[in-house]
Amino acid sequence: MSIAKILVPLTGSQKDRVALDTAFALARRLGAFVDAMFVHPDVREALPLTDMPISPEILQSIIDAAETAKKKAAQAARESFSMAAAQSDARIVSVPEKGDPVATTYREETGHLREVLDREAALCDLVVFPSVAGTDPASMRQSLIDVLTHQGRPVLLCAERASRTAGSSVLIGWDGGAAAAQALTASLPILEKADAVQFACVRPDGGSERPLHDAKEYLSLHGVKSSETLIEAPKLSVAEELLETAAASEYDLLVCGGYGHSRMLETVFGGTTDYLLSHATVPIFLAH
Amino acid sequence: MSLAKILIAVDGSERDACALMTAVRAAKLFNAHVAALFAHPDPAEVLPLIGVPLSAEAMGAIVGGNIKIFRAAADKIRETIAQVCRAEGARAVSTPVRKDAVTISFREAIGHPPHVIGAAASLSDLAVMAPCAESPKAFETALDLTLAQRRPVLLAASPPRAFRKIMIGWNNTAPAAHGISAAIPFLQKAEIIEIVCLQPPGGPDFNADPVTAYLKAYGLACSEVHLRVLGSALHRSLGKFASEHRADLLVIGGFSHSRVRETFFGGVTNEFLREPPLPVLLAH
Repeated sequence: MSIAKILVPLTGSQKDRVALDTAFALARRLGAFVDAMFVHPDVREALPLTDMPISPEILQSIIDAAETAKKKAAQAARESFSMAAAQSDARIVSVPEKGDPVATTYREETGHLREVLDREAALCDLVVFPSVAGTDPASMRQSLIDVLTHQGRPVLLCAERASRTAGSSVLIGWDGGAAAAQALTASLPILEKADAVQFACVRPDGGSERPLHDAKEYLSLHGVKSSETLIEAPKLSVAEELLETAAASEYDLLVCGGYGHSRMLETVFGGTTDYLLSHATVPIFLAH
Repeated sequence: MSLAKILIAVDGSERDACALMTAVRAAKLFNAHVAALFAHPDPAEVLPLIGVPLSAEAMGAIVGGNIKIFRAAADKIRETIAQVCRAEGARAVSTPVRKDAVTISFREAIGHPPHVIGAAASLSDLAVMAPCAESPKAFETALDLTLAQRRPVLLAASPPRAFRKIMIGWNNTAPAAHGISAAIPFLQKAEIIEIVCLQPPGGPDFNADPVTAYLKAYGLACSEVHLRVLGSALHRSLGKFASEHRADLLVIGGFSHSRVRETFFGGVTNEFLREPPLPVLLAH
């Protein structure tokens, strides 16, 4: 119901910094705690699976190489973390705590990203992912989808560059569906602190179960004022229209329901969510 | 962040009073608005399915009868709301607004009740429901649909109470974690929080450390007790344990969309949901 604990998975890549900066910026708005977690697979898994006998020396050299790679990645993650924390004036603590300035912790976990997140995401309020556009390992993208659809935790997907104001003016993609309602209620803690909130209605055909009026009424009970814009006769796909509108009016957060249709339908028809995942030009808050 | 809109499904039955009282007691913690919703089918569509064509008069009489029944129920609900307002110092309002006291609005909606309730719940912070022993199907469908929208549900139990002491059922699973994050607004207002670790005999040991760490991020402290129970007796034991220790609210997660009632540790008995010994907060 509120956002007090933000989890940021780190892999030692350059994108860690973007995720951390965005997470700290949001944490400062919300007074939340940032849990930075470096995840690396067990080095023993680097060994090839083969029936051929491998000499102990070669085995050792593979393990050593994997160990070195892991150390390097961990060091890069630690560096990104300490730089981001210093720049955001965050206090580094060992156990979660609430407070101002923002408190944060860094830890290292061994295992596959998906498995570790499966365990760790349940007891946090938001998971911040770096941009998954381009040449990223599929594991990051798949982890994001898992957290969203299996764990049912909200996700913040960063854009290519860090946004230091993420959450100050928010655009909400609204089609009256259950997923949109879920994203709206999940992002409420951010909306309550935002300076401007606008709905972008993408299917203004009226007969929906959740008319825009109800959504605006819900927000106003929480003391959040909102305005709306209609995307009538869209020339582009829904996802493109949303990103265009967000970029054109300089919104720094887009809130959307993720996978409103079943995952399979989205895959078959090249869904809105998949497009958003690959083309995030502004930070996107997703809930399912 | 706190609760601002609490949805309550009412139907003009005796159960409304207890559910409304529970909703208002919860709303008082946050000075929230209580939106009472009476969902019923279109009177013209509730016709008996029989093989012979009905005469126009007969149809007219049935529709007229339905209208009368729904109108009587709506009147009864307004009366109950007025009573609860007097007893609890709440204010009846015509449209959802928040004032310096708890406000209650009432609206009727036409449609298949569980669907209407589920859709309305998706734009509320909490749905309060009164367990129904007479028509468990409709109640359970509404419960399923609301939980499927990932909104928490507060099951009312008699007598309604303030939410001072809260117990959380914990079995070290993601579903139980969902229950906890949904209960945060209540936990922030509670005086005592107790985590009850539910350990099946012979099962792996676990403790409440992940929960304690999560609650610390909210600045909340809690204590931990361990209860060894068999899966089949889980909910009865937990309910009994919580009422014996005078808890005002029991928090459990672990309800999945379709066969909701069977997944938290393999067996929420239907009786438990139909007649909970104390108010229960459920989340999926």
